[in-house]
Formats: sequence, C-alpha cells, structure tokens
Amino acid sequence: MLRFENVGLRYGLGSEIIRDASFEIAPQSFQFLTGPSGAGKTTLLRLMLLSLKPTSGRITIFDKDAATLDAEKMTGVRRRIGVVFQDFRLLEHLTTYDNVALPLLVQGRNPGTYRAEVIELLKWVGLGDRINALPAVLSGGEKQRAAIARALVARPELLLADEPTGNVDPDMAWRLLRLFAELHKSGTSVVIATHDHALMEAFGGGVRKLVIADGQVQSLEGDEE
Amino acid sequence: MSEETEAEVEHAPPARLIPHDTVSGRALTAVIAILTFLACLCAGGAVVLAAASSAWRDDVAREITIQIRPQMGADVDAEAEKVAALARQSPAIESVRLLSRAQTEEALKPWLGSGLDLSQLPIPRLVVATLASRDPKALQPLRAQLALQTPNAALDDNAVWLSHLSAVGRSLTLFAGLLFALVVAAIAIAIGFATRGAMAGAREIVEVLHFVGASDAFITKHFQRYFFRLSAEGTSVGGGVAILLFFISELFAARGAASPEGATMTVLLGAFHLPLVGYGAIVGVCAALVAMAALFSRVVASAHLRALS
Repeated sequence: MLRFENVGLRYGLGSEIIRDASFEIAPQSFQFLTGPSGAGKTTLLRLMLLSLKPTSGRITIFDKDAATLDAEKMTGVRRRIGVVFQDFRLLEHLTTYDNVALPLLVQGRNPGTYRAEVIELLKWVGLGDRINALPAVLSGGEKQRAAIARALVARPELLLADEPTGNVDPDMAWRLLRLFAELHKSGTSVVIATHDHALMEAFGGGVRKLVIADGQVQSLEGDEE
Repeated sequence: MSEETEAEVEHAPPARLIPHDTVSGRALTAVIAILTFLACLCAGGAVVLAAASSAWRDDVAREITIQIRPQMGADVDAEAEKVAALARQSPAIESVRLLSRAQTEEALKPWLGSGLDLSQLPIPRLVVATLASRDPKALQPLRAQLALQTPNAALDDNAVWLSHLSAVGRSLTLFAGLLFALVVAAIAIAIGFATRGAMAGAREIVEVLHFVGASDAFITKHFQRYFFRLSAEGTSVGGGVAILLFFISELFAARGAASPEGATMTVLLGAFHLPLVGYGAIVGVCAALVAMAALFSRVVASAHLRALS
C-alpha cells in the first residue's frame, strides 16, 4: 500500500531530518509511529501524505511512484487517505458538520446522500450537540474529535493520525482508539503517530511500531521491543 | 442532538468553502461597484453622444441653404422668389422657406452687431429648404437648374459642416470608448490581484481542501463562484446607480428644456436622452464585467494552483 525505499529529507542545505528510511505499510495493517518529541514523526507523516517531497529515495503509494503523480492522480490518491492533523486544520468559517462532510463534498457527492451518515458519525464521536458550532467555539478535544471524524467519514484505505488523542480525556481517548480499531477491522490501514506509551500499551503489545529517532526509522513488529 | 438541529443541517445552504464576508471581500465589492459605475457612465455617455451626434447630423443633413448674392443691375428679391419657386418644384425638396430681408438682417446681428442700418449693404437673400430624400444625387437637377437660370444663387448642402460634426461625434464616442476600455482594464487588473490575494489569504483553506481530496478544478470552481458573487454584487450596485443617474439626469434635462437656457442647450447640443439601447448597454456591460471577473479569477486561480503543485 505504502512503501518507503531509502527515503531521505533535508531542508535546504541543512542536515537530513529523515535518513535512509525504508519500511512498508501493508494493507489492513495497524501501527503506531512513535519517538521522542521533535524526532520527526509529523515530518514522516507529511511524507506519507505526499505533502512533502523526499530529497532522496522513493515513495510508492497504492502501487504508484509518488514522484510521477500528476495533480489529477494525486487527488485520486488523497481521496484514499484520511488524515488527522495535530493542529486539527479545521476550516474556521465552516460548521462542525460542514468540516466533517468536507471529504464527501469535494468528491462531488450530493449532500442528501451523506447527511445521515455524517450526523451519525458526529454523534458517535460525541459531537451530536455541536453540529452547527464553528470551530472557534469548540474546545481542543472537540476540535480533535471533529478532525478525526473528518478523516474517517470517507472510509479511507489508509488513515494517518498525528497525536489523535493528545487533547482528549482518557475515556474519550480510549473510545477514539476503539474507533480506529474498528476502522482497521473493516480493512483500513492505520498509522497513529503518538508518544503516549499508555495509549500504545492499552492497545496491547502485539501492534507494530515504527520508531523514529535521530532521523532514522526502525520498524518493530509486535512484542519485539 | 435535537431534531431541530438536524433540520437546520438539512435546510442549511450549501457550505461556502471560501469565506465571503471578509474585509477584503467587501473592499473588492466596493472597488468593483465604483469601477462598474465609471464603466457604465462611459458606455452610457458614448451612447448619448452617438445619439446626439446622429441627431445633429440628421438635422444639418436634411437642410440646404441657397444663397442669392446681389449683383449690379439684378433684382435680388425677384431672383430669390424665382429660386424658391424652383426649389418648390424640385421633387428632392420637401419644404421651402424664403427668409425675408428682415430675417436675414436679424441672422447677421451676432456678427455685425445691432443698431446698424443694413439697408445700404448688399446683403444676400437666403432660401432654406428641407430635403425630401437624403440621396445627395437627388439635388443634381436643382443644382443644374439654378446654375442655368439664376447664376447668382449658390446651393450649400452643408457637406463641410456635416463632415466636421461627424468628426467631432466620432472623436467624442471614441474618447468615451477609450475611457471605457481603461476602466475595464482596471477592473481586470483589480480582479487579478484580488484573486491572487484571496488565494494567498486562503492558503490554509486550499491546503486543507487538497488534503481532503479536492481537485484543482473543484477549488478553482469555488474561487470562481466567490468572485462571481462578489462581482455580481459590485456590478449590481455600480450599474444600478449609473442607470438611476442617467434616468434622473434625463428627467432634469426634460424639465430644464422648458427654460430659455435649457432650450438653447437643446438647440446647441441636442436633447440629453439615453435611448433604451443605452440602458440595455449598461446592463450588458454589467453582465460582461461579471463574466469577465469569473473567467479572469478562474484563469488566475488555475495558474496559482498549478504553481503551488
């Protein structure tokens, strides 16, 4: 589904932030991306999302070389990926409902065909009462849940989540994690970037981890630590 | 969640992906309104000038003057009567008016001043005729007859005046057209800069839209829709005010025409009147400006997105 081959990234003439990273995200897999703060988790996720171009190596996504994707193909690839940003990236002038429905709207679907689906999802993430609220009046946790709902609503094949439980209480964190697990069971590959060891432990020791440290990515299969 | 909230979602208008009620949006609407107003003034002004110039030319072209110069031993009054009779017989002439000596002297007053005894001067007599047809060739038989029977008479078909009036009319219309083109260019430039500015300001929105799978065509369409709406608002205001101004001006001109000053102005410059086609032109200008703004914003937005990718 997603393969990194000797991928490196540097900004300008600075030192490499990601060095010689080689790993694969298999279909229907679940993995945490972890490492100390500032290690480059978000940068690696942005490379996976193709919002950054590597300075060396090759990224293959959905059997296509990322370097050769034109704008149209890139759009097709991104429609198969759901992403939760650490800073939520909700559009401030849209309501919670419109923000969450955005991936379906941009696909050109008729609002009548997905309205019930979006409302159901909003209820599930506990935002049923905040459906018409603007992001400015949502709490950090509510914004995060809205961002997660937006990433899930189009049932992506690959979900990339950057610290998705960073701003919610443990109960909600566990609930969201269960949502990710259900999504994974329904066939979505999930990559969750986190440095929350409690969260990873709560999920059990059998989950694969991609550990990033000093710019290098190490893949640890479940119970391998 | 209450049923009311669900109903609100159901009946909510489609989401506007580009925020509309922004300071820059309002400023651009105002700029478009002002420039549209100026463009409509130019377009309407050109139509008024063209109509007035056509009316002047019509008036002058429909009249001819036959001047009978006094000569030693000739009875100028008898010759004037003869010329008037010849003109009346011509099928090219609709009506004939022989100016009396007093009327001719009155017409000379602006040049010679009043209080002079003009009876001793060899003042020519004038015959003013209105043409039945605009065919210049129709006057040829009358010219020939005059040359044969009254060699002292000179027929003036106002050709020189006509060419001067045409030149002035063309120049004024051209000037209004040039102003119109400049204002349209200013609108195009304003829209271009505004699109770039809006896209730079909405960089975050564009980025998020890309991440959630929006195509460049989808984003472009929404920017185009945004500028279509802004320009439609701006041109409606600018064009509406221009139409109102022309309408009120016409009313005032019609009222003023009753006064001596107004009557003089009407005689000199023609009546201030924007024909229906002029109002149509203003509406057409507004529609064209909206279309231009939508098209131009689409081109700029597409180019901007291509540069981003």
